[in-house]
Amino acid sequence: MAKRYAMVIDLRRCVGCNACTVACKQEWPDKIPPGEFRTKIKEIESGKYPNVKMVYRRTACMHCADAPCVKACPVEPIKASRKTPEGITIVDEKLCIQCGACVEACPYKVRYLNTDNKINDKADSCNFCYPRLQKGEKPACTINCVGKVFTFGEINDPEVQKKLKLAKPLKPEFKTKPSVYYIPFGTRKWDTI
Amino acid sequence: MAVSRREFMKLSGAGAIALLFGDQFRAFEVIAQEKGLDTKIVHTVCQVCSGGCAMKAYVRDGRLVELRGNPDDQISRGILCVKGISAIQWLYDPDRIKFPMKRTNPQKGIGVDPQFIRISWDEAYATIAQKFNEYKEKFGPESIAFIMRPQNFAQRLAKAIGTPNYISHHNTCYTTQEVVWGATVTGKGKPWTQDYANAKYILSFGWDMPGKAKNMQTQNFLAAIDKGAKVTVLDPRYTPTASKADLWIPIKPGTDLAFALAMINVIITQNLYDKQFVDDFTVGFDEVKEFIKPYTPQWASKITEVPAQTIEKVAKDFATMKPAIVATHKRDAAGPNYANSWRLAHAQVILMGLVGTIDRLGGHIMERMPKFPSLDSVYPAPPYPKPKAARVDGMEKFPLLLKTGKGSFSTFHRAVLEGKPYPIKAALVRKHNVFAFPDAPSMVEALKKLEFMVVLDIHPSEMIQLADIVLPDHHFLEGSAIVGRQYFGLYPQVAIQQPVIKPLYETRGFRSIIPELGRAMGLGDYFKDVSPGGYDEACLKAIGTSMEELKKSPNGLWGEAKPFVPTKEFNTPSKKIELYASEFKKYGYDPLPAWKEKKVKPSKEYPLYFVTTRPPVFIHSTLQNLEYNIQIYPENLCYINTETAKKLGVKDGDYVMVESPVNKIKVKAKVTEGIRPDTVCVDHGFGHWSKGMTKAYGKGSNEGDLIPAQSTQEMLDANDPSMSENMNDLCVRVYKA
Ligand code: SF4
Ligand code: SF4
Ligand code: SF4
Repeated sequence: MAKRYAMVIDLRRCVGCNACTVACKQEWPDKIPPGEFRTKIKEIESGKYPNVKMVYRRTACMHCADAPCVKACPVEPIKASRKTPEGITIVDEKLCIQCGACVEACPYKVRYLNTDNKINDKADSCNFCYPRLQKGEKPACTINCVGKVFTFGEINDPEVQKKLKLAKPLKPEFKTKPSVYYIPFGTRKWDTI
Repeated sequence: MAVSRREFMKLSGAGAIALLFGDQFRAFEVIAQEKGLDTKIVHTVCQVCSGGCAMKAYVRDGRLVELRGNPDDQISRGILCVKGISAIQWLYDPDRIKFPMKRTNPQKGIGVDPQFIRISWDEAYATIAQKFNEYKEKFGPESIAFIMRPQNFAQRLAKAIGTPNYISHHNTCYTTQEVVWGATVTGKGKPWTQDYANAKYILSFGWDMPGKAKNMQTQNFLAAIDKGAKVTVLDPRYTPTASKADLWIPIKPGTDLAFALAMINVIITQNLYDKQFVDDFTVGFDEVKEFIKPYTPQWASKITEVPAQTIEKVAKDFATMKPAIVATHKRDAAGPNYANSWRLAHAQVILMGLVGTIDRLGGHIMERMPKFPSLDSVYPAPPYPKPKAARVDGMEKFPLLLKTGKGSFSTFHRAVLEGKPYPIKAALVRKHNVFAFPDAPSMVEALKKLEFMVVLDIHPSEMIQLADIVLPDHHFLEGSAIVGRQYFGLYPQVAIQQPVIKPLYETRGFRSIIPELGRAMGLGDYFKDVSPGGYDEACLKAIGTSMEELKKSPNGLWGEAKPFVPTKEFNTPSKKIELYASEFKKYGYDPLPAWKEKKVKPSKEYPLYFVTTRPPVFIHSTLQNLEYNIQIYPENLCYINTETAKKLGVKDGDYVMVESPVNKIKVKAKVTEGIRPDTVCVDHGFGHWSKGMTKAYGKGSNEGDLIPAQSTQEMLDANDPSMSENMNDLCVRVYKA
């Protein structure tokens, strides 16, 4: 059986530096158009001065097992927006007809379609750095994180399992079965889309 | 873990992924070897900030593809920060300066095209030599200024020419702390190793290095929290550091000194100090005890707007949760931000002396660097001419600052404009820009007035736009050096910096350029045999190793881990930590940090305090020309409290004018609950006007324009030994643009 991957993000440790964002852009210079991001930090402020609280949340494709973007993709018989055997969501650029249905369907709003640029005019979102995984590497965004925020690996990996015990998916009510989980920061608000 | 070729084949595919995940560094190498790819790993050192993280560069088919931290380095511990990894974009930025150039348009200024044309290195050297020698002849050697950080090769050239004017930016940064730590503890400057990881209580006076992703400080700070350390942050703004704290105290800007004094009062009157440490390693306790009497928490409460009980609680926690550390770096509240910042730095030394965390684990650690020989001992020089004139920046009048070798770029520009005490005609400039110095517009005027300016840089900065001759420096990923572990060294360790790729353009290393220039000027006697490689080799020989050995070393590092041995003698006249600073007394400064207010308070006209911060994806104005980084943070923001914004009719995302008595700038408002209602905060480092910086050009505004410049006389009148520029000691008004 193919491996399945999970990513756990520890919100208690993130300082919002966007090193993950830079690493992703540097990994995919030929895929991510100017001004677009596969991943980015969302700053979520709550409370009133002086009892304010902040959460920095790395936000990218959740690699949903029941992915609305896949269901919405009209291309047949092989969908342009589809799942790999490892449960990773990818966009097949050769098949994408730029209809934007997947962008509309994604409840997490992490996919974009930018037809107005020279780099990539097809739908696009995080692919867990699929080619790196095939080479035995971890996703680019996880390598240099001063907060040591990421735990990434095969879902049964003991390290991943340990972290998963503390973690929750973002907006479980979307019922898309994400592969990305978050360890909340106490009771702070963190789930703004 | 090594994986043989056969095993690797067997495991290829998903199996290999699982196996190799445990050892991510190995994986890359193994795969490269097994697949016969031209992938190599080069050990080098990050030079984006002064941190010096040792890094591993992954080079595939001659192209740098990835950077990672070196896991055996005390500083980086296998991780780089956002600025470090961005160095790839910097290296390959097509906007880089590619060859020496000379100006053909005699007009200079903002928006004026210099009309640079390419020249050879030989022509560049010949022109500079001829011009510099001409000015030296006609106006004296002091008419030539060096504007750069202290660096031994360049210092030798300045001395050989005979100019006293070696100027740097530091009094807009951390001379407050440099001078105070030098006088009371180290005899030289501030110790940069701060052992947060072993601290049990962390007290930040506006320190927000995690918010800047300062690598070693952030990792160690979070490690301390993992181990249960308590964190208190005093900051008018709710910073990323404050977001991790147990307690955020939005203290009134510029009143941290009162808070610190009241803490000292509590710790002494309630007998909470470390008696053994105070007895054994400090002097001046009795004087402090007497001096501190009036500074009660009730007194401080009125000034800081923090309840007396809170101050008392912080003081007690600080003294009893051992070890406790004062978190402080450069331009935080103890930086040159306010007229009383140097006093705050002194109060911080007293606090740490009282709880015994100076050169103790969990505290501020003195430098543990291997002893390298000086340039003069490796390459003895003939006698230097004696400078005939005083420095134009007035630094001789600040003897304790003078000892550090740092300078005052901010008073330099006024001297140039006024032509006093004598005219400055020419300058050699490196890694200094016109940004974020007080009164940036008149700095540009001053530099325009120079008849001949040579600028060394990597990027076509604003300084380059004002240059007559441009010399392209190697990018650090193309250069060589040996680098100590000043920013976090519990034991002596040295990292090798070596080229990860061949230089992309016709650039040269700074330490090669200087001797070449010296020889061209006819000062060859001072540069006989002087070479960067030769000097580095001599340094390594002195510690019993060599370049050859370091290059072969499996991790690019020298120095075995050693147990920490606490210092028993400090580098002061009494050999103890001088809580009462005899050096200050000797030079006519306050020997104890008596309360003084910051200079400027809110008025009807300028009702808001002004503080600054900077986004972690840049280092000041550097890195703003990186395509991805500027996309992430495309312009600077003005943080305004929700209530204040409402009163001003400003909504999040609106443009506002921020106006000070000297200037105004337009910036985007960021409305937040995370700042005091009487304070605004503006990001620093924006407003590039050099068209050569195609990505950064025109993005945001320069907050340095708002800061009034001080004269040397004003600095003398303040009787501040550090010649501090008081970068945040101003108030502003804000209105919708
Ligand atoms: S690199 Fe780590 S600390 Fe920085 S923003 Fe990303 S997750 Fe947060
Ligand atoms: S997060 Fe959005 S793009 Fe990613 S799998 Fe789910 S629906 Fe698709
Ligand atoms: S896994 Fe790869 S593609 Fe996805 S956000 Fe991280 S770096 Fe980008």
